[in-house]
Amino acid sequence: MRSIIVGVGNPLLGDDAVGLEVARMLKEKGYDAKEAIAGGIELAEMIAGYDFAVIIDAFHGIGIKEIDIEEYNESVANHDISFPSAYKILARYTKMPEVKIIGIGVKKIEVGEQLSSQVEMAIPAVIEIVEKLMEEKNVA
Amino acid sequence: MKVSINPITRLEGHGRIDILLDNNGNVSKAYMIVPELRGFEKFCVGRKAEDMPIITARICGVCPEAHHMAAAKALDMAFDADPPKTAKMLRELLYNAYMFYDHCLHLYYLGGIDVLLGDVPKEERNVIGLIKKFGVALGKEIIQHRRYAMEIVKMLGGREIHPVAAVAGGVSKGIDEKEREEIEARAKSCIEFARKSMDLFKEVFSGNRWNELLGLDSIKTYYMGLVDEKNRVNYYDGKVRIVSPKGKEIAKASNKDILKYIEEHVEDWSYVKFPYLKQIGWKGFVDGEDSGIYRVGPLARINVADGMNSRAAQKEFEEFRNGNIVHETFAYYHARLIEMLNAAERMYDLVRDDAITGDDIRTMPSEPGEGIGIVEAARGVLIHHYKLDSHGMVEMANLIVATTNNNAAINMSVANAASKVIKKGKVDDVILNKVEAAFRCYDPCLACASHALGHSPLIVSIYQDGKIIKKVKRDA
Repeated sequence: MRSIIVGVGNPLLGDDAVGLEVARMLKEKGYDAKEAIAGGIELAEMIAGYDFAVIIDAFHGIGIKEIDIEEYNESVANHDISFPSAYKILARYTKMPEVKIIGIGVKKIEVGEQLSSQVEMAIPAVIEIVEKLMEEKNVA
Repeated sequence: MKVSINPITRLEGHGRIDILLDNNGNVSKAYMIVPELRGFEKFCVGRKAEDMPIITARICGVCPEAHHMAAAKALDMAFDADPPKTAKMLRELLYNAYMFYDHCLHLYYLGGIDVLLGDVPKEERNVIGLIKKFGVALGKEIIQHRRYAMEIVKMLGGREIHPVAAVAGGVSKGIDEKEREEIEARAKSCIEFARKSMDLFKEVFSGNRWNELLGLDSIKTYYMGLVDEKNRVNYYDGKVRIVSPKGKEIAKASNKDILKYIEEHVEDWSYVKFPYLKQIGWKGFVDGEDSGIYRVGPLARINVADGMNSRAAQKEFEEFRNGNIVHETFAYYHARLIEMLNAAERMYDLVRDDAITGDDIRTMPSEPGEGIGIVEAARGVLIHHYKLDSHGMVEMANLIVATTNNNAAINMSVANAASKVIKKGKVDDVILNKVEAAFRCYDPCLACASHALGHSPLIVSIYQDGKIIKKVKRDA
């Protein structure tokens, strides 16, 4: 089974970058992990062709939550289409993976390159969740 | 487990259109309002100049290649390091690949839907509806050719989506013969697809509905765009030519003196400023030769130029311009198609030039100073201006982005379209879509205009007697 982990976020927006940090740490552990600054069609194109994909992103709120693919439609620019739409379009032409989306709650987004201590504290738990998901799919 | 994620974090910047109706239900005013996340330019201060092409490319996910290249060009000037010929060609090749896939996205997934599908129900107003009407094979080609252009960006830029290859004085990576051949094959296929796209859209352009769309908004503004030494459209380099609503050249500015021509007007209801031509002056939201409002982007580029630098696109240019300046806002789509064809042809021409595989790809930087880099983002002129200290650290950074350049014109187009279609308070989804369609012609990137890093949907509100009577949020 071919699987991929994608961390989504902006490295210049403080806690928004938490998904990128998680992806980086999982890559160091040997997983196939990528970083994406854009959602929508570019994210969908990034995971096309894989069997299984885990997306890690930040959301305004508290805690760590699994996000339904249909609900993951807010990260869209005026010059973009939503992730669920992009996923459906691509699914007509190419193999699209089973997708799990893990959201990490953040309080405030500000320009900066540091994660807050609260968000940093959530990272080990997120890594554990993602590794468990990968294990369930028999991905080493 | 299911959770609503409203709003997700990168939803910081809401674009907003406010339409105010009078007592009779007709439009009295309409505005486009963009919020601002301040601090990005300040964030750049104190950083190493060499990091700017990477940092600025992350301003938003929409046009990283444009920011990457504008920053690299600003550094060329700041370090007095004019790149060698091969480096300039590689940068331009990457840039045309970006232009191709960005225009492709807008024409087939976003604004182009307004043109190709017309007033269809909301649920069909998307690329799925497009495939339903034009067939599955077209959908496959759209995806395939966007992918081709993105692969070219990856080959040249070192990374997909966020290139890292352009550095002060050139590029950090060349291409070998094998890569050259791969790019040539993809570029050739892109030309064919661009021709097919032109034919598809031209069928619409010959119909009555197209005339109706053209009639929604026409504003006689000044135009601004980059041209080469023969006054042909160039997205990567050249001088900034400014023409009057009648097509008379009023300036041809180098990157060193472009800022002398632009002044910014401030309105208390908008965070984003309204650039205008200093020599003409700000006369309010009006068009004509006495008003300094100018437009940028595909239509502006075609209007300021005397021609295109490739054969098939030149033929299309002549047919489109027919010796005139084109002011209809929906003509942005036709101009975008000509550019998509031109970008594909230009990729093909550049990659077939022997010099493209040369190994002289960088001029070493000298002492740091001040630099201004200008490129054409898909949506218009983008300017990066930096002042560096003697250690090569950024002392000042100022970015004038494409959508800001179009800010005044977009507001006028929204107001014009709203006035034409909203009568006696009747506002339904199809009517509202026409107002938004006028706004989408410009392919605006609000995240970038506001310097808000990330994504921003659009909220349209209709007011009467000080109360909101309708509010719609658009995502995709």
